[in-house]
Amino acid sequence: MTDRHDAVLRVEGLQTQFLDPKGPVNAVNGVSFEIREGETLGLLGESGSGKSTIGLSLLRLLPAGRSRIAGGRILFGDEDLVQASEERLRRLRGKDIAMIFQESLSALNPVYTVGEQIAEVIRQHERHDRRAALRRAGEILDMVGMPDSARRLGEYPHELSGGMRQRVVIAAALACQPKLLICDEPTTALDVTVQAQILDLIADIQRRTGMAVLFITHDLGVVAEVAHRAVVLYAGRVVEEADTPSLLRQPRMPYTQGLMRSLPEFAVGRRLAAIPGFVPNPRSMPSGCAFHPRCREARADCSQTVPDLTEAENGRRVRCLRWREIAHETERRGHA
Amino acid sequence: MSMQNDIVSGRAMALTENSQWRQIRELFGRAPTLIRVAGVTIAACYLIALLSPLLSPYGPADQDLLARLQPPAFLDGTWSHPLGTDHLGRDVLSRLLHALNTTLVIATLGVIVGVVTGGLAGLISGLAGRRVDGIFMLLVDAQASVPLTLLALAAVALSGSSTLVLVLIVGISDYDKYARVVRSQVLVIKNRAFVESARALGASPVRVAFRHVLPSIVSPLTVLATSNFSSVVILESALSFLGVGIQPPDTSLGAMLGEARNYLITNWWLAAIPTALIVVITMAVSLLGDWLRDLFDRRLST
Repeated sequence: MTDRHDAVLRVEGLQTQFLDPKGPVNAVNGVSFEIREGETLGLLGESGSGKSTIGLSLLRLLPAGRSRIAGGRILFGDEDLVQASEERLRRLRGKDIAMIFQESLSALNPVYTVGEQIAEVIRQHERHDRRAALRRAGEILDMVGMPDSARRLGEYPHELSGGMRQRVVIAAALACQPKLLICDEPTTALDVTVQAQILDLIADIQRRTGMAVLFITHDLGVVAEVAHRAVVLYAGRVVEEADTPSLLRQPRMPYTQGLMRSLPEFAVGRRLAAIPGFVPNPRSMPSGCAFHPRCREARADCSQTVPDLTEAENGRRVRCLRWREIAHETERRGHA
Repeated sequence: MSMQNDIVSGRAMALTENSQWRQIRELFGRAPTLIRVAGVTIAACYLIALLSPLLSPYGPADQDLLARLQPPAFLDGTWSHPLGTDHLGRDVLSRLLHALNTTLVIATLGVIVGVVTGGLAGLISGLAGRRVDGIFMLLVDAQASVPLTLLALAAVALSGSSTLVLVLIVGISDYDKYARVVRSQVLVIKNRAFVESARALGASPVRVAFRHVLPSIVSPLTVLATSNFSSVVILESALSFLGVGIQPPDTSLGAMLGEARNYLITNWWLAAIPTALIVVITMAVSLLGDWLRDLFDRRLST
């Protein structure tokens, strides 16, 4: 593990529950990871894996009364956000930690101009008059590569294209130069070409400002493009973590391997292999390893013992009883 | 560069401030003739009500018992009393102008009271947690289950009749409708992505409520307010007719109607004249409200 002092964010054993009349359900079950300054961490998972819930938990934006953080710590610097007051969180949100969401069209308020929306974030956190905040908004729009930014300030969201709207959303998030940017599927609704531009933009701004980025996505291709390190989630648990090149080259956990096989980019000339079955319902989790009913490497004891997240080489972590055997086997097959 | 930015952003601000007003004027210019007539009628009513002390030929309470129950000019009366006189010889035109003033003041303030109390109740109910929501909705349901005239009679019996009491009664009589509409809108809007986004960037609950949720419910609220305006006018008239509203010698359209009911057979115009004015005002406002609703609906659906 890395030196604890350069971690911008450290999540330890985070447990988030959905409350429903039949009792609490664990959506996120003991998740730990950390993000260093200037690093992009990919949080990879299918829908229902708990990845978005983690994003919302970090800023404590979970719907009140319907879900709660039941355990763990979220350390931002030395401060535990799980214990922080609502007032303190409000000052952190947008200033030190910003978050952008998937739907750029609906993430902007239709009744305000682009300039007003960016300026609003600035004025919430910094002492500026309206005019100065709008001027700053113009500079930030320039920074996110908005063509003709001065004119765009006075336009309404519906006058912009999807890609431009996403740039505005990013501009609003970056307005106060946060130390951590959480991106929840920010490019999913965009065209592939625009998607690439937005990913480049985020990477570019990160190089210039040194902010940390948590990138939540279901898309292995996006992880390959932007993330330095990736955490793979399955059913609310971390199942594998590694730096992106080794994760893509040698996935150890059968679930990650399955994800790779189901991607067209990684399966040229082969049949695409879907992972059979569905993500388990958190109400009725399978015994043992949550993935075993869908796992093609599963053995008898996989349904009895819950595997630990074990340390492997180069800071990699794997949650699988048989990862050593599987690693040997894959290497043998690779050599043959 | 920064100066250019400054100029442009200044213009951008000016644009957003002016454009709404201009937009409304433009839309009104393109409205059907009937709507424009309705709009002009309402504006004229307010203007006349405002100027009523100057326009009235007599004082609204000046009696002339020798000239009782004279017919209006269009029914072979004289032009010294264009709309005739009532049972105490008071000039009907002067009383009508005064009544118009009273009725419009009560209805307008009443609608404002209703919009503000109902709007706030709905906003809080929609945004706060389940428990607060439950309490507010209980109050709203309770309101809907009490007959309004009974409530009004009780309020007047307790506190005596005054314009202020009347404004509060007609205002609060409608608050449940506003509260319901606002609450349902808030429940939809508060789950929209831009509200979540604003929270994620540090907006406080009060800021979310007033800056992000409120602007989106202004249109349905406007439509509801115009359509309720008519019912408030009628309610005020009904209360005054029953004798718990405006007290003589002061008068309102409903009070005039109430006084005229003894003379329906012999001097029908005493009732017909204020009635005609009530009909004109409520029709005009309703037409305008319907037009606004269609306008907003169309804009919402595109």
